[in-house]
Amino acid sequence: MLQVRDLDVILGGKQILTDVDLEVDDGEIVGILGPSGSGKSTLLRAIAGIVHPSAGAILWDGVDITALPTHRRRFGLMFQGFALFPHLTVGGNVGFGLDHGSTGRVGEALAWVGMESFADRTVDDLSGGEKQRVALARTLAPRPRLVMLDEPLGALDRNLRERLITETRTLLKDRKATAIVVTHDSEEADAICDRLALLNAGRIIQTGTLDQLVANPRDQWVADFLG
Amino acid sequence: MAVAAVPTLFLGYFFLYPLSRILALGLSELGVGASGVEQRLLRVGWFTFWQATVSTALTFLVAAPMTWAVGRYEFRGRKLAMALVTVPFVLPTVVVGTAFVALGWRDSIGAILAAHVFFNVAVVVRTVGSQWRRLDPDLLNAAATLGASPRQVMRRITLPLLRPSLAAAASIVFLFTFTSFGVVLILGGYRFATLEVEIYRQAIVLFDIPLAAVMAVIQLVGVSTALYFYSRYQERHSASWELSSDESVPSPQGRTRVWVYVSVIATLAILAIPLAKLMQRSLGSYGSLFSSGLIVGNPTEAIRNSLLTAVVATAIALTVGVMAATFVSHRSGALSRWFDTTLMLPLGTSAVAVGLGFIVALDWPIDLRASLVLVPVAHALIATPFVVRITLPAMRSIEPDLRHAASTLGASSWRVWRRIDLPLISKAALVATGFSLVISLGEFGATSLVARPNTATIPTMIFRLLSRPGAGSFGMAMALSVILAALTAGIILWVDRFRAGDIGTF
Repeated sequence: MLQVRDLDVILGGKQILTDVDLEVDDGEIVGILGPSGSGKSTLLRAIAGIVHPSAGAILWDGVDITALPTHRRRFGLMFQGFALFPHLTVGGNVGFGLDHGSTGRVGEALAWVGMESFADRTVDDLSGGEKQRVALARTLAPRPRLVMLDEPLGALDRNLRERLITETRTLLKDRKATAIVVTHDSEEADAICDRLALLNAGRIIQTGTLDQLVANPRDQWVADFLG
Repeated sequence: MAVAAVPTLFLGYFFLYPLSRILALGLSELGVGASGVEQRLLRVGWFTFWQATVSTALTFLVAAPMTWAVGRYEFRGRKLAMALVTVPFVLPTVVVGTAFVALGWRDSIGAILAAHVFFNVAVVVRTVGSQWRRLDPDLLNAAATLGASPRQVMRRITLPLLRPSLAAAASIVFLFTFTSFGVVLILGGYRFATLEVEIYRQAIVLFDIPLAAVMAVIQLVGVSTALYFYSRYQERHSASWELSSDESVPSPQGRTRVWVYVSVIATLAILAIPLAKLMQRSLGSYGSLFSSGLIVGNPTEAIRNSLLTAVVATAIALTVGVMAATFVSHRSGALSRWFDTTLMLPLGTSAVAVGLGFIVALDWPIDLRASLVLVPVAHALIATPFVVRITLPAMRSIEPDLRHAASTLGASSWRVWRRIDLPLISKAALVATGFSLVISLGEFGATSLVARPNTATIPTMIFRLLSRPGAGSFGMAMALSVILAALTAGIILWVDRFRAGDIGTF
């Protein structure tokens, strides 16, 4: 279980996150929903250990991991621009987080996203949807304790998005993954996640399912944002 | 088409024609093969090759910490540090050689290697550092989230992605040190000679022009082979890895911060030592520089010669270069591309070979070899590719419709050029002017072959002073070097005001 407590993040002299509290239960998918610039990506980066909080704590199963370096956290993060390694093949990317000699696992992970035949392709040749799948397979392949997806479907066109929303949720649920999904689209968030947390100007405003949030918005901003 | 005629004639007569004469002479001489010559060639060739290899490796070793600091992090004083690390690179090679003489490191292989490192550290720091800053930081973050430790990230992500710039920097440093002349001539004494120095020695000291031509041919073949493979490599690798230019380079935190500053300050301090020593030892010699009647010639006259030469050479290079750039930018297709490539050839040719070509070939149709214009023309030839490279992008960025609009308003093509093109490239032209002046002031390789005693420039005068025993002439050589360095630095600073952004690569 992930616990984020009173997290403050300051970047370049600007307060990006303020007093953020967040809990994600084992096997739960939580959506972070908010307008652009609200600090969603920074929150994921703080949990991953890429940016360092100025105050507060991050705990996993009750153990404080705030000072643990990124590569020891075993938290997977799928980046907004996918961040595929351009000098490696599709298989090389997916196998990056695995031990040497686990080629079987690479094929397995590619099969999860229906890309088995792409292992030897270079990542340059892939379409946007294919890149998304490879990035997802790469994130899931090492079986991280926590899966974080940053706008996983952001750059894709509408048709593809609708298909991948279902696929992504099924994929996460099949592996009983504990996950956080960042998005700015409330329908997308609702379709993938079990529970949502609304983030605005660096603060968590309200949490709950989309239905709960729409039925009982805490303030005018929540009502406006969810339309 | 008229604008193509002048550059074609200039390059044809002063570059391609002499080059072909050297080739003809060298190839005919290769067949003769006097005994003992092959062995000497082999020895010089081998030394040239291995000292360039070792110099390149040492340069990377010394440059590594600072490259890491400026490539990976943003910190206070980074821009200043980048400017300072570039100082040795813009110094004339004669000044660099003299600075190491000031350290007392003469006649040794160590001095040559150290001077090469001193001169080239900036190439690695700037070329590799600027690509490092353009690496998408999320690629490194992604590797970390997949469990890669900082060392593994460096080995598996950063270094492979930096390969194009590592290869570029290695090729440039290797080329510079392979064709190194001034530094080796001054610091190598008679024991160590590169092909370049040996060409000079055969031509000027031993008057064996045919053997010099053979060596020039070998040198040309070696350099153009290296350049060919380098450009092939760049074509295949750099294009596909154009990465996002995310400017979110982080500031160093905690202990890393200390290491960043230690790396930068230590590198700059090491580079400052030879220059500090040079300045210290020059003190007290400025007076004698301008008073005494020297046997070797008059330093005041050398300074005047150098300034005059620089102005004439710059005028020629600007005229030829801007005409060539105009032609290339106004046309597209094979002819323009071919022209563009030919214009770059003097860049890949050694300065000594250019000088040798003048001696061998410029007796036809009239004997120009004793002419006063020889030195400025040689400098202009070397500066022209730089003028083209600097003004061509500015010219290409001019919207063609601006010219069309001017034409529809009744302007002749000459008027269009004067009223539209010229004002819009004026900044680039000023930068090119500065570069030409600096190149001419510091040029030593070609000058040492074509200059007459009465046309000595500052660099040839420094070399003559260094060749004479006695503390007095050493001091004067140091003083003259400091004057040359100051002139160069002054022009570079002046040019810097017009330079937009960072010229990160060479």
